[in-house]
Order: sequence, then structure tokens, then C-alpha cells
Amino acid sequence: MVRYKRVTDILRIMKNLEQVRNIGITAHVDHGKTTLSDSLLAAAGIISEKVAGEALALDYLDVEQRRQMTVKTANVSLYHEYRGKPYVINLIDTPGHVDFSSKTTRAYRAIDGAIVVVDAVEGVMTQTEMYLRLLMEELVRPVLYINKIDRLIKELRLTPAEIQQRLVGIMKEFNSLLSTYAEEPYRSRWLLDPAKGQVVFGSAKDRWGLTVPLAQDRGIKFSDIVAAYERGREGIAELQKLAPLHEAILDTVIKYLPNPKEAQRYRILKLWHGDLSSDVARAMIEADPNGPLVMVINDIKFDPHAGLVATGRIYSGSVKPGEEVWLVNTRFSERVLQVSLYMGLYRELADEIIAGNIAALLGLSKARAGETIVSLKLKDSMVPFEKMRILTEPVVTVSIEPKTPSDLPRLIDSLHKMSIEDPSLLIKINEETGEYLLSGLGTLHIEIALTLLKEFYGLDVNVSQPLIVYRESIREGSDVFEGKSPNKHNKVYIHVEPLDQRTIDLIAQGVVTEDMDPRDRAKILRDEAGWDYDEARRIWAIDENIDVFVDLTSGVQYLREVRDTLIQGFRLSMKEGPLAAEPVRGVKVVLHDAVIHEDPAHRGPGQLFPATRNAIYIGLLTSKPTLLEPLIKIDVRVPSEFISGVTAIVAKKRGRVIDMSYQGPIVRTVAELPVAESFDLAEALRGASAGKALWGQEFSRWAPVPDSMLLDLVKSIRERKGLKPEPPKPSDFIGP
Amino acid sequence: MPIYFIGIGPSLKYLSLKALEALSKADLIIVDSYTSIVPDFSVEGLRKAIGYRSVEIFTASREGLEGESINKLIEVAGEKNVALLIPGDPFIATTHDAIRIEAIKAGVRIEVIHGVSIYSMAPSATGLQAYKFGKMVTLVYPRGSMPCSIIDVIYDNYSRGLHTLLLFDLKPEEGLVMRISEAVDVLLALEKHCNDTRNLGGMIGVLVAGLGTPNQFIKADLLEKLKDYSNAPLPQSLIIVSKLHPMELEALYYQCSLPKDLYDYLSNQLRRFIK
Repeated sequence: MVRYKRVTDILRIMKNLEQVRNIGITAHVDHGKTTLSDSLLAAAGIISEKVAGEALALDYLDVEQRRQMTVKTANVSLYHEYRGKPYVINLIDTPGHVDFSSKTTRAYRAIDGAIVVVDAVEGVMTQTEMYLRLLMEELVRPVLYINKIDRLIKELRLTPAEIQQRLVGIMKEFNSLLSTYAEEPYRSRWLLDPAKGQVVFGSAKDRWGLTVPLAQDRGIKFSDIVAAYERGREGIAELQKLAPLHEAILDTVIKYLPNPKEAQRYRILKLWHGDLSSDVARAMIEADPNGPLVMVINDIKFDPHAGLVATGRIYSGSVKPGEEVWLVNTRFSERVLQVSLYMGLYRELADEIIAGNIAALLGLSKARAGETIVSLKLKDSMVPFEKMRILTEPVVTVSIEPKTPSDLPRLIDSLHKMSIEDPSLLIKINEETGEYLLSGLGTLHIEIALTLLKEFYGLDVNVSQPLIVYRESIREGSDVFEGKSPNKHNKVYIHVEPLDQRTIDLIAQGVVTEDMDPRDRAKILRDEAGWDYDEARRIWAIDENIDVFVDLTSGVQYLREVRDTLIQGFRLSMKEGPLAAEPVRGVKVVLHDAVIHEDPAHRGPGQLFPATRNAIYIGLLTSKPTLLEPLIKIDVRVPSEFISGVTAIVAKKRGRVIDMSYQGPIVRTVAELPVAESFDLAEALRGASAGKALWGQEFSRWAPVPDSMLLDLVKSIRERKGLKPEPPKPSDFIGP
Repeated sequence: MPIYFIGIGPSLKYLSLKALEALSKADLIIVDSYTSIVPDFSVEGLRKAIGYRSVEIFTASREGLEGESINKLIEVAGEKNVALLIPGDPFIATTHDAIRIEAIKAGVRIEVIHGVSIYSMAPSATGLQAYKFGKMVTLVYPRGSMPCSIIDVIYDNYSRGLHTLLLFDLKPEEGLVMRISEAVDVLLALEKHCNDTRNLGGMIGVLVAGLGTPNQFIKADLLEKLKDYSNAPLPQSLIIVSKLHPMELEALYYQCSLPKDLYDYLSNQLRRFIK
């Protein structure tokens, strides 16, 4: 039955946090997340019941509908009654493709519980595992929904006993992953027990769902379900009536996923790194609506009518229109013009939304996804929520230009808006050629961005072949080299060496950052990566490509004054390495000594940038420099007769099989291969498996290109950039 | 073939007979256009000064005289007489030290022809005693970093009874030349940023503007008052005055238009001190 609820009703319930849940739905691509969302929406009276299953209401952009895949995070508040009590469920839709996982990670911060959807036919896949790992990291409690039971019956023609066996298998695999990734005490508390109704199985397409207790309660057996499908449409309609999916799912959500008050008690301790004995910590732990405002923005969208819409989770206090708030990272205050909650595709105005809920704000032009927003009185004291960990780095670039040159200003404007909405899309201008370069997390990511440009912003563009982004690195340490400024009055003495893998990981995961307390940083580096404490204390800078600049000088006159200039020189050098003007990655740069001119006019950036660069470049060029290329990890499942075709493709594409396992008639292959070889991978896999390959991909790591390819690759990148084909020699940076 | 390092001084009119003699031998004249301003300089004026002799004249920016360019210059000097024309006295600013050293290393003969520098004109034109100057320093545009060492230099000198000659930054490639009002603002901002609680604004300074040109202008006053004289000719420099010798005080009043009230006040202080 559809219950149409008014905004005022919803807002009233949202004030009682025991009756609120903040959840997300997460799934491997095409496992049925969107279909499930739509079934829930239909039941919440927000879209008509008839179109659910077809309309994909959350995928409101044409482009996404055609791809049957959600791209943008959308929000909705659902209404549900459980044992006679009304509840509001704030549902955050998360993208299901690994290319968009920076958004996914961000969404996880806002939710306390998640429904993990697994396709009954395909079982647990790479991305299921990856998302589960992230859920555990962010302390989001999961329940499992096994979808597409209809396929087990209609396509695989499994017997009731086989169906049951299959479900038990998936649950076991899920629980074993959960106990791998969860920490205590959550590991033992959160393991799923089907007998308690913590696992729902059903068909989102046919909109029925059951748990073990529900099935017992209503006297439904697997054989009844199989029989219902045998009877066709009529049987399924009956099943829908007898066991509506939304009821099974939402009852489970309300019963087992924590309400915001419960969840904030333990999640704040993990997610927030400020002083836990402070008043603001207490207010957040208690989700106190009368505490100071603390809200974390997890999504920014550009609405053509309203401007920037910032959506996020309120941890303490309440947010009201007209209030001035402080943006902690941006260090700026702005006025909230409108406060609203989500209802389907629309935002509805609210006078106030309190802690524990999700709100959308208008008027914050400077807010970005990940920002912490607080009331003005916390301006100087608030510690922002930690930086979001980035799982993937942009690895593919295209250059674009408008088909009509006069569209250029509009193109720049649209790209700018898109990169605000999706910070993992990077836009850069090539100063020499004037080209606009768009970088993303994969070819698919770029493709979707381009379609958005066309369909949403109405821009026709010419696009180059996608280019792989490489990194430069070194394979041994260098001697100490002198770098001279053009006027030769300033000298720096620098050596470079590769960073160890552990340090690289700590920086990549955001455990070690540039802006953290130097003592804390030194402690972590000493304990976890074997650094000398004193050396670690003297880190000056950590750049975005995971390079570290360390000052080991003593008693150099004027060093303090030129510190920022030297750091800037370090950053610029690492942005474009000597080999192919690609970013340098994983290098430690150590400053041992310096001679600085007496007069400030002769030690400016014009002198110190080249001095720093010269020394770093000589160091890099003499330390077995190489290019790193991005590798992807693919997880391919094919019937066993096609396995040789798959391994042949992996071998042909310079790949490596990491793991191979048999699951009944299916062979699961996990392999790693260069992104450079992956452009026609989908086609190749289809061809080799008669279209029966199921596969997923994720960014794996950076790895040195084979030595036999290095010189040709360097040459082709240099030529593409209009540089002379041969890379420079160390002597080119010694100067007169 | 030699490289002549020729100081222009503050004006083309200051070119010495020796400079003209060297210029008459040069096959190639390179003019440094970025270390300071010579108000009446023009290539046409230079041609006139050397009697319209046919010779290549280039004006060089920083890139033309630093780094890799040094080697090229020395190479050219192997075949041609090269004259480098530099504002003031050639090596006072230290900018061209590298060329001289590299030339000598390469076996190229060098000759230095001195010009008049602000370094000697400042005491000479004001009557402040050259013996009583401390370290000089360039007041740079604070970009990115705040050079607190400038404030340190002024106070180090001051506490030892020494005057400070402050040269003003210029960025010819951006069309920027610092003038006195901006200079005072930068100084006060620096002092504030560097948490110095002493009061630079209340110190006495002497603005020396366009020295050696027909419009030269000299004015002594409190630093804050000097901001009114930004329209004085270029280039401008500033002397921050420390403890004064009685003769210097007379010079400030009679030669550098120190206001009467300040003169009276300082005279009283000196007299008290002498008693």
C-alpha cells in the first residue's frame, strides 16, 4: 500500500532519532541496487508503484538510464511503519562502479548502516568485497540482500534444495569476508545470522523478498517460490502480495541497523580525531540537537536553478536557513540560504533539520565534498573530520576542445562545475598548446563525463584518444648533488632516494599527511615505516604525488626565510620530472646544505626554483630513473571451457594471473594488467568467452614499465608534449 | 678579446671618458635593463654618446645574462669585443659576479670600468657619513614569504648606531617599480608580520630620488610622512637614520629639508647628550 506522507510529517519524525535510520545500498555493478532502490521508493509513496522496476527513479539523468548504471549520488527520505511505529529512513544512493568510488567512500561517512546487494547467480564479487572492506573501515553496519532469486529458478533451473545451498554459500562467503575486515567488537556483533532475519533474499525486479523468520511465519518454503514462478505472472503477483520486498528489507533495516544516536556513540570515536573530552565531542557522541552545529558535506551538486547544493550528515546541533556557518577547511564563513530534505528527485524546504539526519543546504558556494561545517563559535577550535581516503588516482587523460570555438567559455565553465561535483575529475590547461585536459579514474569515467557535457550542458566537443597518465620514479638512491641558481649566488645540496613501500602506503591512505602534527607524523613513520625519528621530524613537505621533502641542514643562514620558496621549488620539480615531464612519485628528496645570498633581491623564486630543480633533476637522472604505469586488477568469471582464452588475453596484454579458483563450473581469475593495454579489454574478453565472461575492474597499483619499453615510451610521451625526443642528461642541469 | 664591464652610473651623462673609450672599441654592446633604472637611458641616446658609430646594441633581460646565457656570452667574447653596460657600478649588486668569474676561468680578459653607485651617492648627496652606514638591503615585494631579515637588518644597524640604505625592488618584466609609499607600507606590514613591536613608522628616513639626474629630490622626515612623496623621480631609495652626529643633523636640516620641529627636537636631544 502506498502511503503519501507530507513533508511536515517526515520532519516531525526526524526529530525523534530512535525513529531515524541513515543507510545506503551498495552492490557490485548490475547486481540490482537501482531496482531495489526503486522498489523501496515505490513503497514510500514517492513514485508510482507501476513504474518501479522500469523507471529507475534514482538514475535521473538520461545517460545513466541508458547505461543502466547510477553515476551521481542521489538522496531520498523514505517513510516506513514497523510494528505500528513510523520511521524515516534517509537513503543515500551510492554508485556501483569502481571508477566512482571516491564518491562512494564519501557517502559512507554519512550513513550508519548499509544494505549490501549480492546477485544470487554471480555471488560475491570483487567490488562487493571492496565495499564491504570500506564499510568496516567506516564502521557502517551491513545487512545482506541476496537478489535475483528469479534467475536461479528461471535461468539456472535450480531445485529448492540447490537454491538453499546457494544462499547458504553466499552468506558464508559474506560472513567470512566480514570477519576478515571487521575489527572487534564489531566482528562478533555484526556477523549475519539468517535465523534472526539479518539476511533478506528475493527479487527486486519482481518485488518480493523474505527472511528466514518471515518465511516461517508466513509458511512459505522454497518449493512454494519455485511453484509461484512456474505459474507465471499470477503466481509472482501473489508472491508480491504475500511477501513484499520493501517490508522485508525495511523491517530488517529498522530492526538491525543502528539509529543515529546509537551509531554516533561509537562512530565519532573512529571518524573524528579531535579531543574526545571536549564539549563538541560530547555533543556529537550524543547527537545533541542543542549542541553546536557540526555537519560533514559528502556530496556537492550543481543545480542549474539553485546553484550549488551541499548535502551532508549533521552530527551535532541543527541547521536553519539564514544562519551563518564556518567552513573549517576552506576557513571561510558563509550564510545558509535554504535548508531542505530529499523526497525522491526533489528537495523540500525545511525550517530546521537536527543532528543525526541528512540535510541539503543552499548558499554555500565555497563548500566542497568532504568539508566540515560548524557554527561560528567553533571557528577557531574545530578539528575537521579526517580527509577522505582516496582509493583510486586519475590515470587516464583526454584533451578536449569545443566543436564551435565560441563555446570555449561555456566549456570551461561546465568543466569547472563538473569538477566541483566530482573532485576525482581533474581539469588542467596545457599552457603551451592551450588544450584542455580532462583526467579521470578510467576510460569509462571519462566517457560518462563527456556524455554529461553533451547531454547536460549541451556542448559538442572534439576528444583526443585517451592517454595514460604515467609517473616518474627512481630505483636507487643518488649522491648529494649541488644545484646552482642562475646568478650562482645560491646553492642547494640535495640527494634523492626511493621511498619505501610502507611510507608510500601510509601517505596514499591518508594516515600520514602534510598538515598533521609533525611529532605525530614522526611517531607513525618511526613505528610503522622504520624512519629515524629526528629525520621524520624534519619533513618539510609531502606533495600530492607522494614525494617527501626533508630538511637535514643545520645552521644555514636565511634558510627559514627561503623555506617556502624551496618547498615550492620542490613541488614544481616533482610535478614534471626530467624524464618525460610526468609527475614524480614515491621519491624522498633530502636537503643537506645550502648557501643563500645575503640580500633578499638575489634569493627570490627566480633564483631558488632553478637551483632546487637542478639538484633534484640531477639526482633523479642518476638514480636509474623509470616510468611507472598504472595497473588494473580484473576479476573475471567464465565457464571453465573458456579459461585458456582468458589467460591468453592476460598474457598478451602484459598481464599476470594472481589467483585462479574453481567455483563449480565457473573459474574465477584474478589478474593484473597495465591500463595501457586495457582499452579493448571488454571486447577481447567477450570474444574469448562467447560473451559469457563476467568481470569487474579496479585500480591496482603503479609499477615500473618493462625496461625494453622505457626508451620508446619516454620518446613518444616527449614528442606528444612537443619536447625534444631525447630526455636531458644530468650535465644539462649542472650549468656553468 | 676582452669583456668590458662598464658602469653607467645614474645617468648617461655620467659615462666616463674611460667608458667611452671602451665603448668605441666594442663590437657588441649589451645593456643590462633589469638591475636598476637609468632614467635618461635610451639606445638612441647611447648611439649619440658614441658618435653614431655602427655597432650592435642589445638590451638584455635577466635570462640574457644568467644561467646558460653566461656560456654563450663568453663564447661570443672569443671573437668579439663585448661591452656590458650596467647601471651604477658594475659589481655592487653582485648580479654579474658569475660572468666575471666564468670569463676569467675561460681565459677571457676582463676590464672593469667603474660608474657611480647609489652606494656612494647616498651618503654623498645627503651628508650622512659613509663611515656610519651599516649593511644595505633590498626591500623586496613580499610574495609567498615574508622576509623578516629585512627588519632584522634595519634594527641590527640601528642598535649599533648605523644608518641603513634600503634599495627598492623592481620587476621590469611585470612593469613594477617600487616607490616610497609602497615601500613604507611593505616595511610596516613586515614589521607587524614578524612580530616586531618596535615602531618603524616613527623613525626618521631620508628619501633619495633620482640622484644624479636633473630632477633629483631629497627629503628627510618621519617614515610615515615620507609616503606623501611617491611622485618624486625614479629610482627611489630610502635611508633609515640611526644616531646622528651633530654635523649629520645639520646636513639633514639644511641639505635634506628635515622639518623644523624635528630638527629642534633632535638638536635638544643632542645638546642634552653632549652636556
